[in-house]
Amino acid sequence: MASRKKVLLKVIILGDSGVGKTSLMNQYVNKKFSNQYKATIGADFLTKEVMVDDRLVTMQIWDTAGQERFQSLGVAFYRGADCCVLMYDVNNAKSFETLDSWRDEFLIQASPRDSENFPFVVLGNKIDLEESKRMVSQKRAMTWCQSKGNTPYFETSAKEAINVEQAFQTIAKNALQQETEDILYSDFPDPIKIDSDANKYEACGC
Amino acid sequence: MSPIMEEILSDSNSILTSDEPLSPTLQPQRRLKSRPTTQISFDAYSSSSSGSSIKSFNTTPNKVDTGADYLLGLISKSNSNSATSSERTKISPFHNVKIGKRPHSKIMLTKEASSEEEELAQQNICIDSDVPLDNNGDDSIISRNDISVTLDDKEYSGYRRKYGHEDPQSITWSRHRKHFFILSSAGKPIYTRYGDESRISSYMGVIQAIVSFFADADDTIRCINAGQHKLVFLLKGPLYLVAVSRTNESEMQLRDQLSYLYNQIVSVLTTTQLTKIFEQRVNFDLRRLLGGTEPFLDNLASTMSDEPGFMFSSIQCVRMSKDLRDKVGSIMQSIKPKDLLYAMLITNNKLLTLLRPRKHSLHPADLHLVFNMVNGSSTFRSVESWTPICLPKFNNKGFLHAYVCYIASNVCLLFISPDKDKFFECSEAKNLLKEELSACNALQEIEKASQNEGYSIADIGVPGLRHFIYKSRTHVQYTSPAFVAPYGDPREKQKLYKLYCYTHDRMHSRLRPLKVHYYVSSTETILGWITCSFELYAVFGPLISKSALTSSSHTLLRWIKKEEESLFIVSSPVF
Repeated sequence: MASRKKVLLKVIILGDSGVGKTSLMNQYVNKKFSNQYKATIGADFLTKEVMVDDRLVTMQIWDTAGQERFQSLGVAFYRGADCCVLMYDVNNAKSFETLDSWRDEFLIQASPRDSENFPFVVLGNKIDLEESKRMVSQKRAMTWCQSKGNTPYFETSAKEAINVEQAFQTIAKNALQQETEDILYSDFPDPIKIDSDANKYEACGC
Repeated sequence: MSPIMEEILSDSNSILTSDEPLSPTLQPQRRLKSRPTTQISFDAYSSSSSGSSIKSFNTTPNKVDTGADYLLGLISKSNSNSATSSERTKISPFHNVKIGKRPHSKIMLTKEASSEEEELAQQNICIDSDVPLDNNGDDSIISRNDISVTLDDKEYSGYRRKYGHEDPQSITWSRHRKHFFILSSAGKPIYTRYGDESRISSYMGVIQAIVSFFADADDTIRCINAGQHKLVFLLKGPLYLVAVSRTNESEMQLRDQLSYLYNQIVSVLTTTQLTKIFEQRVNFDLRRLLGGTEPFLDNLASTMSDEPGFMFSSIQCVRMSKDLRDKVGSIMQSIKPKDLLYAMLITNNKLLTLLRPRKHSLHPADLHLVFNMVNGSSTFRSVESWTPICLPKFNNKGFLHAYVCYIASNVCLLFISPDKDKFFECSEAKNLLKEELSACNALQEIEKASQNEGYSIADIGVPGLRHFIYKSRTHVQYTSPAFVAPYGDPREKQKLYKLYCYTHDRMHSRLRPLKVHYYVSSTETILGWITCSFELYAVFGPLISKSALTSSSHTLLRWIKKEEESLFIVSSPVF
């Protein structure tokens, strides 16, 4: 069904504290980068409009806090996401190892209808640092992504704006597929039978 | 006690259904039975005045604290923006809103919010209207050159929203006195009264986060009082509706308005469809199915701000002689098409006559939706239309079908049928009706009656009376004279309306409903009086004595009693 309105996509970004979720957002939305670390409090909400296959799409990006103490934003918070971005720091093995639990947590909280095929995108950030510091090899990450239903994988640098645009193009594209693939329920409900007693208008006493 | 007040109840004859008990004093507890919910109130001013109305405060102090911080995050969104705006003003299609839990940020944020309010107060010329009365705002919107993406996407419906292109970051946007937001439970925007809903999606995220935070504790957020602002929440299954207002309307009044907006959405989709869609896909973008219905939501949002019928959950009738009304009713009865549910004639948001089955009366809330549909679009004026409509109070699960056609310049005929294939029968019936009405000169007479702006206060001849609203609880209808000087001026009219709102709220207060309320302001004296058969709100000058006020009110009641059959539809034809 062709929509006359711009499509709106809800994208949630998850990952350990300090992997660069907010920096990546800032690079993508504002084309800015700062070396200074500022922890996200609760969640940030950003909006950006992008073109995907000739369609104008509004991305509603939910940049969440990675710190444990903010994990109580509520059961309804993840609900109705169109795509979930899992992010880790290639120089931090632990942040990679927790991707599993982030993914599971999301699937439990958001409980998407088709959790097998729900679109995830994995980003390995901070590839601008020197090679010797790298703790998670590309191969290891790709293997993990393959085991999770061929999840798209990107290696990014928020600092040097490497792969940021490409990653978000894929995110938007996959989210859009999820948003539009189902056939709409557009049948009319059953007509009202005014004379049947079963259908009697409760509020009317006259 | 005046004999007029001792009216006998005859509910069997009422054409309209009312939700409220006829005798409020017998069931004062009725409204208290709502679910345990939370109301936060954290500024000194409002907590002192409404502290007693906090029903249940079942969150831990720690949680309330953070809840308030969430809120501050929301309220201060424009501030947090301005803090970072030096780098972002040039790239304005992006919005960044933060919600936070830092306890120490609380004071600072409140301070900023209040200084912003002062600024607002200085700039705000029309303090009493929730719609700016002047058009200065529009110029400043056009002069903003940072909006480029939203200009062409609304053209499909040929409907240009008056405030549709306002930038949510602008002062004109935040200056509006009453905002309505509708979002899905996933936090996706569905409707905003001002601006483009896709550009405020970050604010929707904040609202979703606040709702979600309380949902986590099996609690439901109802209302937040923040300085002059009230944020009222109505959660209806997959839809969240939020009013952000500084109109001084009460929480209950705002929540009623949110229900009307919800009903408007149901009237387009039915609850069956609404639930099914979100059961299948919680991420559904509902704007796809509501496309083209914004005019109706817009129209409803603005009429609710100056039409007392919503607040009084009743409707107004055209004043006309009983003979004429009966004549029109019996002609309608004689030509009624097969499988008809309701037939009605309406004009200017007023009912002329209604034909209904014996078993079914019509709820005023449904009638308001019908009025809103007819007034919300000008297309009905030129053609005969056939449209599906769901009347939620009648049956929220299915569609009825409405035949809509103007039979005179200002008189609109509606046939409502459960059968979707009855257009041609209705159309024929309309021709017949028009013929027969013209033959006995009734068409001309109702056209004349419909052109009146209403009766004047001078017709009544009650000394000192400036304006009044009288609701007949038995008929579920109200009557009110036309707004003449000094209330001809829109600003004065708004002020008067505000006075009615205030008095109405005081009298219907959940904890202590009043039967009589007497209030003197610097410009008016208002008497509110509720009995088992009527509600009266009578406005006098500020200097009137209590005895003069009492005798005038009795004179007014006598006049209404005498004119009852022309002011109200006392009995409507049934089949």
